[in-house]
Amino acid sequence: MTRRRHPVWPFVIGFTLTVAFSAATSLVNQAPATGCPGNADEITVAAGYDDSMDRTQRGVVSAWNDRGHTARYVEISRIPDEARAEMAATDQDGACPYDVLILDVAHLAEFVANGYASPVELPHQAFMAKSVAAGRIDGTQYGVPFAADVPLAYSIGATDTLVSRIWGEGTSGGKPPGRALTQLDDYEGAMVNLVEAIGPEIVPLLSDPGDMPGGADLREVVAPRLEAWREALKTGLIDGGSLDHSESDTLRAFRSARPSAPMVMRHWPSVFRSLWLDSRFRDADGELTFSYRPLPRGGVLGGSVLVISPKTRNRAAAERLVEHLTTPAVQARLFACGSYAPVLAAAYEVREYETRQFTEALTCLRGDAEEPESLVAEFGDFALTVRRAMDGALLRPQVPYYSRLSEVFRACALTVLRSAAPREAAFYDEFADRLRAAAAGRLPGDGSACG
Amino acid sequence: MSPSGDAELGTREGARDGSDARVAAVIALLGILPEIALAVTGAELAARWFVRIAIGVILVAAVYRPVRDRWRRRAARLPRWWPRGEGSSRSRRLIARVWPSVRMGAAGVVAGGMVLALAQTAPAGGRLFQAYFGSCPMPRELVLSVPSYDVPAFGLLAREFTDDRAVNRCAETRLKVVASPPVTGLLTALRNGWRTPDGVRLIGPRPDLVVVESRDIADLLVEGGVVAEDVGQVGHAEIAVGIPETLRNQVERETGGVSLDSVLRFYAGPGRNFARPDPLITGIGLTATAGLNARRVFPNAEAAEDRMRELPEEMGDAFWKDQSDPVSLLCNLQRDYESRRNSLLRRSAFMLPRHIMEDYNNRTGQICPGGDQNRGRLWIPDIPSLAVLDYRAIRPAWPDRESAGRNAAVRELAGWLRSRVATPSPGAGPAPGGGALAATMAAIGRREQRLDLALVLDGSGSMQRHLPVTVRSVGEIVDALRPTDRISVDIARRPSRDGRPQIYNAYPSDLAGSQGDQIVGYLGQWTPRDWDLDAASTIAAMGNRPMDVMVIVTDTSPGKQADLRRITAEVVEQATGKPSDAPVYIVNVGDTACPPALRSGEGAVFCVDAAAFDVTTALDRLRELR
Repeated sequence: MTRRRHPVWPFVIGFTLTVAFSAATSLVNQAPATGCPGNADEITVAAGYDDSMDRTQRGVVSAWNDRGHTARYVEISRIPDEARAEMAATDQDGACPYDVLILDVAHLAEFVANGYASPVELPHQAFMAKSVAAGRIDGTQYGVPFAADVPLAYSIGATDTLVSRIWGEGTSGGKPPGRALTQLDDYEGAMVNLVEAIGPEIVPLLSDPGDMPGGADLREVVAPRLEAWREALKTGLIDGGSLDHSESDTLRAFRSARPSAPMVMRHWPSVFRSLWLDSRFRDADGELTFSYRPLPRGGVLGGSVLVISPKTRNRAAAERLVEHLTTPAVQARLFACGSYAPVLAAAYEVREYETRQFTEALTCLRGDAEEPESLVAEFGDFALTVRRAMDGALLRPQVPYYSRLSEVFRACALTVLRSAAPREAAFYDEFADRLRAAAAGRLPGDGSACG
Repeated sequence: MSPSGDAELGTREGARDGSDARVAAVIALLGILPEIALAVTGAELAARWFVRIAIGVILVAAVYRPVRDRWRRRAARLPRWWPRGEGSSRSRRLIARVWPSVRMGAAGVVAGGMVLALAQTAPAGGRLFQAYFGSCPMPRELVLSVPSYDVPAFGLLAREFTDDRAVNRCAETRLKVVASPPVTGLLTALRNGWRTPDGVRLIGPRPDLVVVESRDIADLLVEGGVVAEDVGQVGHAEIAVGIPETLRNQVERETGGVSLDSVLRFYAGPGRNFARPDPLITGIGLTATAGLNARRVFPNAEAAEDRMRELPEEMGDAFWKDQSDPVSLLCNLQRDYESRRNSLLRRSAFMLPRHIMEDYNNRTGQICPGGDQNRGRLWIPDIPSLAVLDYRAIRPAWPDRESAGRNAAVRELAGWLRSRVATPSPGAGPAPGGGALAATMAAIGRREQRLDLALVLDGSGSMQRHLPVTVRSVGEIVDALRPTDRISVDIARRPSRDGRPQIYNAYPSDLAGSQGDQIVGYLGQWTPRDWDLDAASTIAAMGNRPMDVMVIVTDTSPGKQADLRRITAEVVEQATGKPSDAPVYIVNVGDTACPPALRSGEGAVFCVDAAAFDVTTALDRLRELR
């Protein structure tokens, strides 16, 4: 074989050119796009619809201006799953991704598994521990806490026994007076209600996709509480309408309730404002006619985290925006004006707002009231209750296929609640099989109905 | 590595040729394998064509030598006078010199292609491995937008598509099915980047594929320049004529032979009508109307429109809403209206997809809440259909999230939907032409009595006491609007006692059908607690907005500086002097009566107590003026 007959250099050139050409093309595709819509110095922030009073969240984001950078708030949809779909679709393939996502904590594990969330460093150490934990997946912080949401029991009349029976350990004794309003329509809200019904034991049971419980284990943890709720629904202790209620239905029912009958509603802190400022919920002396407290065994932590896209065009500016949105002043304003529960302990100290010069938050609290300071004091009490509820909050299972897991869990659990009689062991075996498949991301074999 | 072939063209002979050709074929085959892998996985390789050419070079090299030798052997047996091609010997020498390098270069390209193909297909291989030996890999997110009444049906199709494509029950795609905006607003929505008219919000997740009811609607969108492409027909339905059973005998008797024309002319007669889904919201209604117009049953499109609008006018506000959904429209046959309304509805022919009417007849109880199969049945005569819906899928252009992978997945979905299109029955009439559809749309537009209502809420703290009345009044206003009317909500206030007037736009002007319920829901949590902005300043601040009517909901601020009784003259002056001639209604939700000067109903401003406000009559009067 002579060198002339078998020249190597054309082979090397051919090989190199092919690989280099393809690599260059993919590099060009991955490079930050220059033709993205909007201003190049603008950080895009994707979120669900902000329906708070005066769209406080939008206002706070849009008002940000730092070293020539501004932020554009993109509201996607009122339906959380639709907002998730737009965020996921855009970040997956987008040359122009949303730089920052205001993401429902329930979807964080999914976004991390997909590679749509980048690891972040918390801008400071003043966050509340539970919120920080909600933004951490497998030991890495991917979400910076932004808004917390933890349910409270809002009561009219004496409901201690009722609350304890529905959400606590109380099981003995006769039927307590009054009725409870929960959200058990087939949507994510039902999942958090069911987790609260069953209690904290259920969370670790569903948190490892590789080690999901068998039918017997699942039955042992889940069945007693689901049966208690099934009975409560049957006897009217839990309002029968709850099976078709979402948050807005529950609030409507609570607001139109007769004040004479005891009633308790499980709802988020965001509804406090509309009850607190409604004169129908005050007596002749101006005192509130409803009370509120944390759920006895903890409520499920909701809310949102700030996620920075791995493909953001300006990471430094995105980080500065995140830092700004988590300052005590901004968090206090979001709380007082928009009813977004804060993720910083400092923002719950309403009595300190004056000293700290959180003027905008105070203006929102005082409004045109004749006795504004009493309103501020009332809101301060409420803030302390929310903070207490935060400390005892439960995290949802942080698994990539959470939404599928949730769909299957509530389909089966709601079947129990709607049943005429207790479900047998075989039902829980199927329940467990379905959960195992859902946690691994597998489609249901024969429809989503359970049992 | 050396490819086969003639390293020195024309000098080598015998067995070596055969072995070189075999090696060449092996290399080419190796080059083809990644091509096959890429075709199977759908992954795109930037250098694919480069590699294909190189494979071609090697294959040519492999085939060239035996062919040439055979030609030479044959040439040797030719007569002497046969041309031997000596003149091209120089070029042959040149080729002989270059050929080995070309071949080696081609081999290099193929080798590079194999490496790239391996890199490209590795993730797909990894996903396959994961699907069988671990948790499912995360699926690709796709959004499919379909006509609102078709969301459940496409939801089932989406599930079927996902199941079909799943590997070991691991989905490759996660398909979100969402409702499209009304057919007449689709083009605007796409032009606005799937945003609300004010550009502030998206109207939902941006769709990868939009399903519209006919080719002509798709053409309108493609011509509008906002769509990447029309990816083909994905469905088929015939719009048939359904007749309430109670009229069957009369139709058979009086038409003298049931045909499409005779039935249509029968229903065009006095005291009868046609029921159709709202043509401004659904492509079904639009296509059915165009089909009817094509039959020239009425003198012209405007006359047809005038006649067909009589039915919803007769049936009232709720019927306008029912018209946006074909099933709700049909379910009206199950309800008991007062006799006059009942009579007109039951004397109307329904222009709807045949399968929906058949479904209604067969499963009335499941389709209509509380429905009874023995009442309100439809007879669908065996006559040609009125028109055909050739559902098309279009792919909007979202340059910020284009990628080869997404395009491939969307095409796959479109192809799957295309493969499921039923074959039209032989008697099916054609879809109305594009011109007919545009003309129909124009005629409907000319006859439309759409209202643009600007709702302004008094945002002062004193309104807290009147919230229940306010919410009820706003609910009544929203209920009285038709789905294609527009409504906006503003809150008039001062942020402090001496603060500047502020009009806060809570909801920009949009279709009542889209945001009416949201507005009522918003008011459920609304907590007014700012300072009064008087009605005169409110009118002045809102005056430049385009609108047909302004409705201010206020407690009239009794006893305050903004008290309506004190500023009556200014209010009249502002209402009269504002640029638009839209009337102003002040809906008083407070305890103090309206000032007498504003109660007459004459002039540009009218104050009415909430309990006495007949909103339907007021809006109907405004529509008549249009």
